[in-house]
Amino acid sequence: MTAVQIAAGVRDGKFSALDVAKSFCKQIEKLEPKLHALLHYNHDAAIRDAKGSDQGTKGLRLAGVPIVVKDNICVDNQPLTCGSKILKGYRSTYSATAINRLIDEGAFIIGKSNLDEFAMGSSCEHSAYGPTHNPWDTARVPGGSSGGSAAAVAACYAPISLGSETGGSVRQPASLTGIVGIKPSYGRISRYGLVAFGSSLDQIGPFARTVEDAALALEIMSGPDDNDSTTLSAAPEAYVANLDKRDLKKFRVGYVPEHLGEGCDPAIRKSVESAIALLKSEGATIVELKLSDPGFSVATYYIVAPCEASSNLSRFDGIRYGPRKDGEDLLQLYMNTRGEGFGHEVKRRIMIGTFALSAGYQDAFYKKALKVRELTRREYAHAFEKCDVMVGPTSPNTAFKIGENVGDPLKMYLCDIYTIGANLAGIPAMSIPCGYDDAGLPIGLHIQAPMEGEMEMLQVAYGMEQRLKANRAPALAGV
Amino acid sequence: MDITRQTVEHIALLARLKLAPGETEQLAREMSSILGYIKKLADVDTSDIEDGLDHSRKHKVWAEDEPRPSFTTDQALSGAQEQETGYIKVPPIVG
Repeated sequence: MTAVQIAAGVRDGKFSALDVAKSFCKQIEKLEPKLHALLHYNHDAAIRDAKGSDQGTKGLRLAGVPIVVKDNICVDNQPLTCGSKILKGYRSTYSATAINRLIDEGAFIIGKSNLDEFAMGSSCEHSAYGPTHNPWDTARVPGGSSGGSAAAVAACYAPISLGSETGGSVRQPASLTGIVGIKPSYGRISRYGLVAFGSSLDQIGPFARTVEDAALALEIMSGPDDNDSTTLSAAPEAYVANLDKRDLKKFRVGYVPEHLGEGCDPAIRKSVESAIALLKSEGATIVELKLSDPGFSVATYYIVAPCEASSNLSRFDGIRYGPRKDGEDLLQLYMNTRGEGFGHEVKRRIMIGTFALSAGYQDAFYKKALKVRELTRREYAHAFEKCDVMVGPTSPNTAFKIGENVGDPLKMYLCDIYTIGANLAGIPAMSIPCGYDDAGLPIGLHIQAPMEGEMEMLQVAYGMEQRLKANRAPALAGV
Repeated sequence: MDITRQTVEHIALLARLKLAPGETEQLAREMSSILGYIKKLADVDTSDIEDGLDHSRKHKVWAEDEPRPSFTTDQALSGAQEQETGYIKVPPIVG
């Protein structure tokens, strides 16, 4: 059942949030030993919160809807680890604005999901608590960093989950698990209560099995927030009510032929090309675009994000949160706590960021990357003069085997080659199921729109979803 | 780009990270490879860009200078390992 159907059923009194919670808890308890999608799950707490959401569900848009939350987003009095040992045992003292808005609409939090440590990774293998498995093939990764949230929705633990994006961490796992994932415009959803990684790039984004459910979650979470001065001033738009209000034929759809060339899996190329052909047959105007080599975006990102991370993660020092490793003086306490608390991937990014900000290298690396980022913004703005939305592959590959890429960080970084541009430019982007490769693994269609262009992006996604009919649940989910 | 062992040790101290045995050499290798890839940015012509800051976000956000409810001391200290009489306890900073 979708979130829209659940909420309607609870509102109409056909079943209660408690019935819903029992059913989803059963699914979680059956599949969690195989998937390890969650870091925190408490049956009794889920039942208690569902009972709470049964009080006064009248008219609420998410009445009785369970939601899985990535474990780098604060939920009051629940554990928060960011997939790291450095926050083991920590409990949040408040809820993120996005969480409060969902709960105010009748939702309850059913579990907190696994992630690459501090959201740094593309496979969920960099969690200090072990990897999450892809429900389509448990020998494979679900993508990352929001891999636990993606696997949870694909395996029907909940109709909606929250992830976070810095460089593709919602869209890439959505693609690898065959679901819908949205990265909103920078500032659309408040970052208050999201543990900071790269503050100029970070956004919370929803996962769902349908465009309508994802749009609903986005609509509810969006809007200005006094606790995040980078939120956009625009009031939330009525995305759900307008999903079917503009025909595909009224869109100019751009694509970059080079993105379907070298480096892109042939099965993905074929699937995305047929989606473009379908758009054309529906009457959309197809526009060929030329953009710079996306490798430049990856290079820019791997300066900007680690620089911001090296600063943001300095707060994890054993003083205010998490376990402490003592030393003979304060410096040794910091060194020991951070040296033992952070995993290797996080250390590597802190090191790259610290290096790129250090005396003698700042101009050549950090300041240069900021300038190239501005070029990326301009290039997108220019491209969107010729088209309303842009489509392409979300990921250059389908789900890879656990362990396949861990020894080669650069190869792992290139998993985000098509998604990173949107984060650098701040524009909205999403992935929807597009097809399946010969092994039956899901392929994602990437849809990008200009700044604050979520409505048009969702209309194209909704129109394509109706025609592609590629939304399925994996056999393991048993639905 | 060649990152030496000495550079790794210097950066690790700046970043307050104690490295495990073998991690220094591993990071030197990995950082050389990653920064080697990133060096391609030097080829991009950015001569007409002043500072790379996002000037589309020119609006200033002001908050009223009024007290609002905030965390209690207990809440703010609840994640700290050691505390005493409402303060976080740390080892001596000056010997």
